[in-house]
Amino acid sequence: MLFPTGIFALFFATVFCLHWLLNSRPLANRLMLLGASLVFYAWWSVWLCLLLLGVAGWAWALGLFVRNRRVALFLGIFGILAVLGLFKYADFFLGEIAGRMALALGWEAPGLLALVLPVGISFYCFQAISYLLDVRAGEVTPEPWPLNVALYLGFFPHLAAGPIVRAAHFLPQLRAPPDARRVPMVMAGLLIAGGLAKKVLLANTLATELVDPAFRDPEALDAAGAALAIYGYAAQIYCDFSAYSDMAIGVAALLGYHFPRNFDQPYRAASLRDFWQRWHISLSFWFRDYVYKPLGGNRGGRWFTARNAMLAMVLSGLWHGAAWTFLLWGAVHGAGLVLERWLGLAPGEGAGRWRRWLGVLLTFHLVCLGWVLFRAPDLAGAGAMLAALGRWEGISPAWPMLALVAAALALHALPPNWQQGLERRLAHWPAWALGLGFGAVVVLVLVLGPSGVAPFIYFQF
Amino acid sequence: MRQPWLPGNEGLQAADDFSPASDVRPARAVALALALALLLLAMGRSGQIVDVAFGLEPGALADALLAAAEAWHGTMTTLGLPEALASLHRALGLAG
Repeated sequence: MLFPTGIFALFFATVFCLHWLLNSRPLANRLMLLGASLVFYAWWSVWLCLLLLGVAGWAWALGLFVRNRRVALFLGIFGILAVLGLFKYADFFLGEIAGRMALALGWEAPGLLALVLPVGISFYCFQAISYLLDVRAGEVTPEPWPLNVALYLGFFPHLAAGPIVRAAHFLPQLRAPPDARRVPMVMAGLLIAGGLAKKVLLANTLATELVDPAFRDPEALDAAGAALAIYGYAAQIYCDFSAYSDMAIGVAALLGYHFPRNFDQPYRAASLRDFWQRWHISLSFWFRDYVYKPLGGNRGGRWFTARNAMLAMVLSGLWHGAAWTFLLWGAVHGAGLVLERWLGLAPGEGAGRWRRWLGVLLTFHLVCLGWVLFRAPDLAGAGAMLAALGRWEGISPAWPMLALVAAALALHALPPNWQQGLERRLAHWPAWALGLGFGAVVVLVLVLGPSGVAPFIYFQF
Repeated sequence: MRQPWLPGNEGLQAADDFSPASDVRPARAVALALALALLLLAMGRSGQIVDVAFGLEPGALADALLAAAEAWHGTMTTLGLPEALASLHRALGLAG
């Protein structure tokens, strides 16, 4: 089930009413939310629900022992990674590594499993690991019953594409009923309507009119066309993924639950380190707290820190997908972070305006270079797109698309807390006027956007 | 409790969409707003509702839903809403 559809609107209205009607009966309410989340997930395929419940049951069962037994922690994480590996990485290993080795040795290449990648598996597996590690660290008490763990992993607003909410942040919210007198409607409405506008008007249009055709045939592009397609993809992926996060955060807030912000105007970053504190924040912090810091972080000298940063970023690349392009994308970011630290390139707090602007410009273009690897179907495709940047003859810029890319990137020129400013202005509106206003915006966005519903980019991860 | 909009919570130290100053309403008022937003959505997307009803598995319920969807779309057409929105799409639509 996709957020920007009428089916989801009906589904959510039903869940919303049931949730607040059942608010004084916490157990029934949580059972209803879990049931609704399974219906949401079963819209793709029923067996996906069994896999989700299996991972939740495994995490819950091992979570009972991880605080006192280290082996339970290793077993728990190993089991979760095994599921993720089977569905996401088995064919990459069989095809790219075992297959090539077999061919080199003159053996028959192993057959591929060709398993369908379950939607959201990377997100809920990482949340399951977060549960085990947070219990181990004493940040959250182990759940005596599996219901809360299953709801934490499967809660429908973040099930398909995050944000990756930490166990220590979300489970305490499930243990007490949300306050029915205090629902942050205005900000939730702004996030949902704004997310819908970013997805439908900007991301979908950029994808169908500019980015997809360009990456399908990069040999046909001149330098301007290639540059526009790369900038276009930078705008598209931001508008697409941040839109999903905003809508997920807004939907959860209407049910009284809080997810932290997942995007903070990432292309305003003046360094790569700054970028990773603004882009997919929930994943960046997951890797920082569960991979980078446990490896030793920056406590062991220059080379040790570099190794840890590279490992975290390469693993982050692999998290996105089993392909050389994602691995290289992670490595480019890891190397960039290391060089930035070694050479002292990141502008500090007291850096002048021009130094900061230069940092923003350089960071944005390095990130765009990474997006070529991220979007291209393979390394050859990425090479072809970069080669097109060198074709300077007969340049013909596509002005309407240039305007759309500029509009999408201009969202970063808004003041950092512009939504809070808008919220304050709308705070005096009565609820009925807000409902009509948000409804009118949603209808207008759907009418003006391209027809059809494109899936979100991060569903594939 | 970790919701920044609830009393007694400081909010996150990092940048966040919500804070203790977030405007909050009772769930009943939100339900009214949601109902009105859905009504506008049903009015503005009446043609798409008919398309969805056509795609349902044949049966008595599907027939009833299709009849209701067509009656609703007919009412909206009488009001001139689909044509007005189509004109808007032609004039301002970004693509498609």
